Amino acid sequence: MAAILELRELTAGYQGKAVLGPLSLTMESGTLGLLGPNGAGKSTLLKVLLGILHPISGSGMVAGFPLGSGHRLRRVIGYMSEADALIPGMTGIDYVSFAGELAGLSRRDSSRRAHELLHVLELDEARYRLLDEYSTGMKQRIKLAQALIHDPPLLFLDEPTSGLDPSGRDAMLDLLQTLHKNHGKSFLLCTHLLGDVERTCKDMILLSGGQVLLRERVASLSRTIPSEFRVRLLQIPPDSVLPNHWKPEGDGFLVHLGPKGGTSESSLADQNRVTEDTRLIWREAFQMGAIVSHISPRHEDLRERFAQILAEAGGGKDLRGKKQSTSPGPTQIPGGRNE
Amino acid sequence: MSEFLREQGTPSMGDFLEYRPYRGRLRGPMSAVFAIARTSLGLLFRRKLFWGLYLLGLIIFFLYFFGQYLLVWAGSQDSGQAIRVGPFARIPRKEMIDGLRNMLKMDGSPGMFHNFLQTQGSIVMVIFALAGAQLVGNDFRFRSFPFYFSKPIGILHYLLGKGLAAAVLLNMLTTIPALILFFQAWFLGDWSWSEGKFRLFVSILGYGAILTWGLVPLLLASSAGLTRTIPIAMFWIFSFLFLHGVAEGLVDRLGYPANWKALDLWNDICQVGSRILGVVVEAKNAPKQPDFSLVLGIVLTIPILSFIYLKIRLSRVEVLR
Repeated sequence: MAAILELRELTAGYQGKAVLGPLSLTMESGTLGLLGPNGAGKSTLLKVLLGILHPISGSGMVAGFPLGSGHRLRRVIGYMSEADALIPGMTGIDYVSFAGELAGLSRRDSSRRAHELLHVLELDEARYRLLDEYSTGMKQRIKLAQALIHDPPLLFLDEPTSGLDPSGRDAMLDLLQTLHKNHGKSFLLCTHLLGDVERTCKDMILLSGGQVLLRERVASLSRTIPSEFRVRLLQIPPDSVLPNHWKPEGDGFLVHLGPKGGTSESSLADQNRVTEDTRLIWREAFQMGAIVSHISPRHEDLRERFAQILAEAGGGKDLRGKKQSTSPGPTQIPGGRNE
Repeated sequence: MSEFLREQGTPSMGDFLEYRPYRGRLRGPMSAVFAIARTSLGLLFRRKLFWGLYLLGLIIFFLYFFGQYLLVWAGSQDSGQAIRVGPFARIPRKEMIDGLRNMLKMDGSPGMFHNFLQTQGSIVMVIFALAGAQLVGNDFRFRSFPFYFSKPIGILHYLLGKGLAAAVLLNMLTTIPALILFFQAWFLGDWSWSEGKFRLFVSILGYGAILTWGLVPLLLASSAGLTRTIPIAMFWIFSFLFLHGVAEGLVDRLGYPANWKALDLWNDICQVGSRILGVVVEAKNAPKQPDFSLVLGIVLTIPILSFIYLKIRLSRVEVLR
C-alpha cells in the first residue's frame, strides 16, 4: 500500500530550537491515532504536516507532496481544528461554501457541495442558522464539513469529539469510520481520548517529548492478558496464608500466574489456558478455606499501557500532561495476611 | 436485488452514502482573495448600521450630484432676466449662477473633486473605525485563523482579500461617486473630450489610489492589533482628530514650523491627493502646509510600516492549539 505520510529524520521547532524529533514515520493509507501528553509535540507535528511550520531538518512527503509545498500541500489535506475557528455572523451554509472557495472550488461548485455535505452530516435543517447559535455537536460537524469540502484524501482531525455528549461522540466516530471504510479517507486523529483511537484507528503512535515512544497496531495493544485474574473471596479464615502470587487489590486480589503472552485474537489455546488457570485459582482458594465469589481475567487497556509507557519514559505524566500519582499507598490485606 | 445493490455500493438508509467525491478542478490561491473580500463585505453589510452609514456617505454625493445638475439647469434658463438681491441690487441671472457655481465649486473642476473627496474621506474614516473589528478584528478575537490557514492560502492572500474588501468599501464612497460626478459634469457640459478631461479622470483615480494606499493598510493593522470596535475607533479618533488638532494648534496658534503639520495624517493624504488633482490653494489666508517631500514620505511610509506590523502579527497567530 502506498505511504500517504512519510517523515524521514524530521526535526522541527521554534526559533531554531527543536521541540520535535528527529522523527521517522510512515503512514500507509488508513487511520492513525496520534496520542501524547500536552507538550509532546502533537501540534508542532500537525503544523509541519500542514506546511505552516518549516522543519529544521529532515524531509517528508504528505500525500505525494514534499513538506514545505505550502499551498499545494494543503489542497490534499482537510483539517478539523480543535478550536472552534468559526466566523461569527455567518450561516452554516455560507461557512462551508466559503471554505470551498478558499480551497479552490468555484463559487457554484462550492455552494452545491456545501449543501450536499450539510445534508450528509445531518445539518441541512440548520444550514441557514447563524454559527453562533450552533450547539457543540453541530459545531463539530460543521468543522468536519469544511474539512471535507474539497474532498481531500487525508484528514487531520484535532480532538473531533471534544465537548460532545456520548451519543454525539458515537455519531462522530461512526462517521469517521464510515468515511474511511466507504470513501477511502485516511485520517490522522489527534486526541487525548484513548477510546476514540481504540474505536476508529488501526495504528497509533504515542509521542512524548517530541519523540515517538510507541508505534503499534491498536488491536495488539488492547490484548487480554490471561495470566492475571481479579479474584474476590468470601469467608476468608483469619489464619489463612496467601500464596506469593496473590496480591491484594481493592476489595479483592490480583492473582498473577506468570507471563504467558497472549494475542488480541482469542485463540482456542488461550481459552484453554484461561480455563486451567481458573481451576488453579479455585484450588488455591479452597486450600485457604475461602469461597470464590468473583473471578475474571484482567484486561490491560490502552490507558494502563500508555500510563506504563509514559512512566517508563520518565515523564510520569498521563495523556493530559498531568503528573500521575506513583505512590501506591499503604497495603492492606482484606481479610488475610501475606505469606 | 437488495443484496446485489449493496454489493455495488448503492445507498441504504443510515449509511454515509450520499457523500460524493469532488471531480472538479481546484483553482489557485488567488481566487480565494476575491472570496475573502466578497465574504468580508457580505458580513459587513449584514449589519444595518453600515447601510445607514453608507447612505449617510451618499448624501454628500447626492448634494453634489443634484447641486451640479440644478446649477446647470438654472444657468440654461433665460439668462436675460435679473434677480433682485436685497432692496436695491439686481444681479443678472447668468452672473449669479456662475458666481454660485464658482463659490460652491460645483463646476466639474479639479477643485470640486478635491472638496468632494476630502468630505467623503471623513465619512470613510467613521465607517472604517466601525468596520475594522468586523473585517479583521473578529478573526483574531474568535480565533478563525485555523479555518483560513488550513486551506491552500497564505498570509499574503488573506491580507489581499481583506485589503480588497476595505478598498472596495472606500472606493464605493469616494472614487466611484467621484467618477459618476465626473461623467455627469461631462454630459452636462459640451460633450467634448480633451486632454484636460482625460487628466482629470486619471487624477480622480489617482486620488482614490492614494486614499486606498493611505487608509487601508492602517485599517488592517489597527484592527489586527486592537481587534475590538471601541479601541479601533479610539485609535482612529487619535490619529485623525487628535493629531489634527495638535498639528493645527502647534503650527497655526503657537507658531511652530509648518512641518509639524505633517503629524496630521489625513492632511498629508489630502495634500498628496490635491497635488495629483493639480489643485493649488491660492487664498491668502490658506493654512501653512509642510514640505511636500515630508508629506509624501509619511504617506508612503505609514502603509509600509502597517504591512510589516501585519506580517509580524499574523505570523505570531497560533493556528493550531
